[in-house]
Amino acid sequence: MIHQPESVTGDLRLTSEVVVIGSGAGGATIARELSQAGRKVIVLEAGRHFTRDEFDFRMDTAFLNMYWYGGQLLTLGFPAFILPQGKTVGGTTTINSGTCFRMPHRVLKRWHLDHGLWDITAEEMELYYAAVEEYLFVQKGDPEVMGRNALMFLDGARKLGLSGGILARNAKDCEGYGVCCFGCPSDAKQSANVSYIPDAVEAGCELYTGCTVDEIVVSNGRATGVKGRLEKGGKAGPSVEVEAGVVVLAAGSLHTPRMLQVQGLCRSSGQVGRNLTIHPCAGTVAVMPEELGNPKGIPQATYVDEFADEGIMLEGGTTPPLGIVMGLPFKGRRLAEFMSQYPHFGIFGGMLSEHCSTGRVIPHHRDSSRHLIFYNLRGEDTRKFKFMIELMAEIWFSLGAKTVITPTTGDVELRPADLGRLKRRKARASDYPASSAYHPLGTCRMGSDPASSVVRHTGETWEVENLFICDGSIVPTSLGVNPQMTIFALSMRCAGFIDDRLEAIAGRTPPAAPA
Amino acid sequence: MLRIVEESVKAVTPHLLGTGAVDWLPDADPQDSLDFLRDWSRSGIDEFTLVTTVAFLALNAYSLLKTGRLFPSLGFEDREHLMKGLFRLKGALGFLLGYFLGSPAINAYYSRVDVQVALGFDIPALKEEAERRQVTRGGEPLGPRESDDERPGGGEGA
Ligand SMILES: Cc1cc2nc3c(=O)[nH]c(=O)nc-3n(C[C@H](O)[C@H](O)[C@H](O)COP(=O)(O)OP(=O)(O)OC[C@H]3O[C@@H](n4cnc5c(N)ncnc54)[C@H](O)[C@@H]3O)c2cc1C
Ligand code: SF4
Repeated sequence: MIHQPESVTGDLRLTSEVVVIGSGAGGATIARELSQAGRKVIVLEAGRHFTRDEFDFRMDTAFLNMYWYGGQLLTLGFPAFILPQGKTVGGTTTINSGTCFRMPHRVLKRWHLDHGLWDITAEEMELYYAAVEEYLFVQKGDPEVMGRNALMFLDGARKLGLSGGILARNAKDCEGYGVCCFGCPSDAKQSANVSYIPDAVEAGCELYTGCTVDEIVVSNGRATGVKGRLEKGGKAGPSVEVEAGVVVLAAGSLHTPRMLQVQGLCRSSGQVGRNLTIHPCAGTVAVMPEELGNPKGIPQATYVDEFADEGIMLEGGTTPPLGIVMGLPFKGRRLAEFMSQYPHFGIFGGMLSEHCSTGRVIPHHRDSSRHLIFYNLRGEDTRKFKFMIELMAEIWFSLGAKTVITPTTGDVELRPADLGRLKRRKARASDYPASSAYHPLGTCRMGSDPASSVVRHTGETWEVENLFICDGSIVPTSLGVNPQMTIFALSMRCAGFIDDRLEAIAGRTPPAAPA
Repeated sequence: MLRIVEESVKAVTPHLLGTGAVDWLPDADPQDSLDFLRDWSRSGIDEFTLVTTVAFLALNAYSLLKTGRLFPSLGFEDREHLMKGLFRLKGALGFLLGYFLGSPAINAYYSRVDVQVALGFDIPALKEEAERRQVTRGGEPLGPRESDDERPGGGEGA
């Protein structure tokens, strides 16, 4: 059952075999796998539950209702990145673009070589990926609904001899409403809120929404439960305590390390909160001669992967007007005139899919329920970031764009003749004040050595028995591709080890004889 | 929130949005900008509100320096003149000042359904269509979609 905070009248004292903190890609997968295996599972989710009827196509309401801090999370460093994350049932999957990729083979090989994760084999991952793909109806987007923008960009890239294609997505009967990141209004997108969570609940899982976990209870080196509180009408409501055999921390790559740090858990490796990778992103907006029908279409529909081996992936499609206007440097008359051309906008973005710059998450010094995120784009990554922007501008101009807007200070509005100047510029991280990132990973990385990692390949922490971490934070490197499929697949793998642990716990402490 | 900040948020709205320049764009309502900032402050990060407040105080300091009066008490033409000076600031500082001064008005205005419809994002029509084509995991595929012309509201967008 899904419990909204209003339905809970007093403090809760609950017991279960497993308690899961967070209902995103990691937590929802654990909840479904273990509930369907007959385990008693309780999920505590800080965000609230929304359904398709409540998704209203609006970015502003989505930010206020379903994103942490109204979508205003910012990294500290050069450049500063807006790093939005989901706070709702289904976690960030509910507000993501639905793009699905398997992790490239070379990345897994690096996990083997650099992190000793030989236990995670390619053959095994393929089975998990295949199962997730089937379950989530993963398929290539339908060109009929993906919108002209994405197809046109792909066409332009191919004409320049660059490789690319149509993105696979976890969507069934997608109509291209263009608002995946604000809640899919037809339930076409198979995010965890319409797939894993309902299936877990049907199998007996209890999900408490609006419930923020503050503490993992640890006794004699073992996790034994959690403590939290419900939020009602913006105020702290009843307290919640759950006693459980296994605690699964799946609060995402920013909150998971913060929670451990606040309690001083898993400190010995010194890696909690470190090794943050984010897949830094930049967007371009081109003014095309023809109308492109924005924002109807799939927000991320096609890709250009010519430079994927160098760690650059272009992925794109449409976005509503508000998604564009905030990144523009124009004001007044110029802003209105520019935005009036919105139907002509060509919109495409890119990300550094493999990068060496890493950052760090620490609890906020004044409010430990929040975090500070430090991240700087360094050296080679800055040059790649610049190259990525030039590449997108070049593709748009080859398609006849009159102007292209880039996030580069001093070269925001380019005409075809300005491209050379952009290319000749020296790359400096501080030149990109309107940057964003969406894929934080790595802050509680997996590995084979307790001295340099936080969790084992099973997801269990080295230091606290029965405490498993199953979310993006355990992914030890940037992935080369969008991460949700890998988080679903790894969590499915971890669920097997948790099930084994529950067997062992049951053997260790036989259930009490009936009275 | 400081009264001077509230008044300034409303006062900058027409100058930041410049909607008068495009006759088919709906008029801006300064009260929307203030409501947006209040909602935003409640759900967001304190530092964002703080930086926004600082940006508006800086605007007033600049106004005092240039005209001897606070920004909201200036006439339309003087405010426009002052804002144009600020818009000319280059580099990251110019961008960030514009970003924080502009956020309430720009977010509030471009979130409005009528504005989005005017730009071709026909939210009411799409919502109606989404209600008719709801997907269920177990259900059969929805089958062929109606042609654009047959859809209620279809073809209205730009
Ligand atoms: C706008 C956007 C678009 C994206 N698009 C794609 C895409 O197209 N393809 C792709 O592969 N990836 C995409 N991603 C990334 C992907 O969605 C995430 O990597 C993935 O969802 C992360 O899974 P997770 O389990 O680590 O965390 P999340 O899915 O973020 O889940 C964590 C959950 O824990 C909850 N939580 C946190 N703290 C607490 C607490 N103390 N108590 C209780 N609950 C708590 C949070 O509210 C949240 O619901 C996108 C991300 C964003 C922001
Ligand atoms: S494009 Fe529209 S219909 Fe398709 S998944 Fe996204 S929101 Fe849903």
